[in-house]
Amino acid sequence: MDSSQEMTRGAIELVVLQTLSDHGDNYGYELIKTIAQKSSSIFEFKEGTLYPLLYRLEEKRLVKSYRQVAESGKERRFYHITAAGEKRLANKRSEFETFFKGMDSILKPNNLSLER
Amino acid sequence: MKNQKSAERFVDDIIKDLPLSQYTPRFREELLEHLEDGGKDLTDRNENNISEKIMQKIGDKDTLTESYVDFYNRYCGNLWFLEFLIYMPLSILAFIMTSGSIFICTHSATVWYMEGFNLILSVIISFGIDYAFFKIVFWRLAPHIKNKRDKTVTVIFLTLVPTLYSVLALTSMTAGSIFLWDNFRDFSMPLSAISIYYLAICIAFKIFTPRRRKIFSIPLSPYLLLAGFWLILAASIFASYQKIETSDGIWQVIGAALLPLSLTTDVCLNLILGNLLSLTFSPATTCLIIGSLILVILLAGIYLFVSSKKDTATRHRQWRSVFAMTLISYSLYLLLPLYKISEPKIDWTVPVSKISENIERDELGLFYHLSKYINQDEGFAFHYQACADGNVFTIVQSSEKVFLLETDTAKTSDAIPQAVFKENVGSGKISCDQDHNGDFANGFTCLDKNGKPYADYIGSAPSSFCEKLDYNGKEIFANSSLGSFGSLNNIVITGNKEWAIIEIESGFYATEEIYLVDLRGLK
Repeated sequence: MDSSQEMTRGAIELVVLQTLSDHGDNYGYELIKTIAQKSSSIFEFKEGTLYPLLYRLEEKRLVKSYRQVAESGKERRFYHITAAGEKRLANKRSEFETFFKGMDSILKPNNLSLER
Repeated sequence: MKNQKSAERFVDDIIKDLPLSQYTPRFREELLEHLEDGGKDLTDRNENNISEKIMQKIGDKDTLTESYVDFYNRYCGNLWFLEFLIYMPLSILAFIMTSGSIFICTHSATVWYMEGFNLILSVIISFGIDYAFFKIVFWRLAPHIKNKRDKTVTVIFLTLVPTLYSVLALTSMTAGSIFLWDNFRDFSMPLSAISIYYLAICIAFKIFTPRRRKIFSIPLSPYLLLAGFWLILAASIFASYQKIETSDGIWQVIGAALLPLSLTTDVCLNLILGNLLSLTFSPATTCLIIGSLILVILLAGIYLFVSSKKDTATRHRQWRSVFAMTLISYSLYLLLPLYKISEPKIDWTVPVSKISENIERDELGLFYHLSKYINQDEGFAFHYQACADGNVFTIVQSSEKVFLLETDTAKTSDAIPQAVFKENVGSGKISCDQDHNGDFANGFTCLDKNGKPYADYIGSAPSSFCEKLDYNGKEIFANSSLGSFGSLNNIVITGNKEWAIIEIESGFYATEEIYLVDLRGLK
């Protein structure tokens, strides 16, 4: 997270919800690994960021947690995206798509001028 | 991590400075699992220095704490500056009460350097107590300051300012002036009440999550309603000065209003305040000992709760136990007024009316009983003076409120006349030129337990051994109190041939009462 920390902060909720939606229920450690892997290590969450975020999402009822035995044979707390979470994800995605579309439109002329 | 214990030590070190919530144990649990998974991954890859690498990956403690605190700031943390401002009077109040308690305990009015010694001692001890109090309670439950240095500075500041204030207040007390003390009361009590109220709500919102909020909202609603009611009531009484215009009276009403407030909340902090109020302003030894005991239970309970590393369910069970224990001890403490310290049992043989009680009941209303033991300094709220002018008695309460009592209205009636409020002349602006009525007072005789007249008795005399009071050879009352608590230290009599007002002071820490005695039947 070396560039644009502000942007990343705004996006982490989307990242976590999207990962849970795509990869199914997961627990903290695996979630961090999955996100890092999927984002080519652009998003490397610290534990102090991820867990409070998960608690906040749970308080908003966007995810719910339960304890279950993981593949490792150890019991872990798994997080599951709820229907409200999916809805929120769709909204956030739409917001970000619009944002990037706008950014893309602004940045394009510069790119063109650079090409010249 | 070499083993589970070292992992726990590492995580506990991170956890110990985090603001407390129901997620704290869960965070601890998940961090430990996280370390375990990370350690296993590194071991599978045959890496060395696993402990260091995991710690490095997890990040430093301050970063973790900051992220975690950020999560909590959404509740009340954005108003940290306001919090800081309103905690200040609360900290002053806490400091004054603890230092005041210690000062009163060690108080010696005989040697000036002993006063100085006690002052320093009380300030030092109070500083320690209050620093620990703020560190345990406010650090972990309330402030949302992120790093350790800022927290330490805040807690020290919250303790240092009251230290200076306390020195000034106690010094002025020693010098015989209560100017600072009075001013302190005027501004700090309402602000402290607001602080506590605000703090209680913040803590309540932190401890109970949305998942439990439906259940939580059931007890919360009446709490908010009751606490709000008491707060508004206390503030309105304080602000209006309509009903009671003596500062002593207001202080008691505010204190009395805070006590029910403390009973309506499940946050121990309010109970502490209630106990501290009673502890400090009930100088009777019994109150002091029991109050101290409850205070220790409360502080120990809070410490155990805050420092507990158990899971949420266990912590809540512990919390319930501590709360139950506190409630029981507090209930016992509230029953203390039933044990009337220093109040003599007087058997009157003539019709009598307890004028002072009637006046105070009218003034204090619901708070009358509580006010009898939440008192300032000497243990009683009001001082009285009475003087007679023919058929009219003038009663002056605490040198500022004047009541008139006309006895000629009772000529055609068997009823005993009551005092009627006339005017408030302002604090310390009036005193009754007490007329002992010479011959009239000489008609009274105070007898000791052997039935012998108390030789120096004139009309206003020390009457510690006044077991019986006679008027022209006929008994007025017999003191059937047992032991020294029932002794009558001072009796002042004024009146005419048909009526007498008898002021009885039964001890330095006891109430001062005045009675209107009907002498007509003795003719």
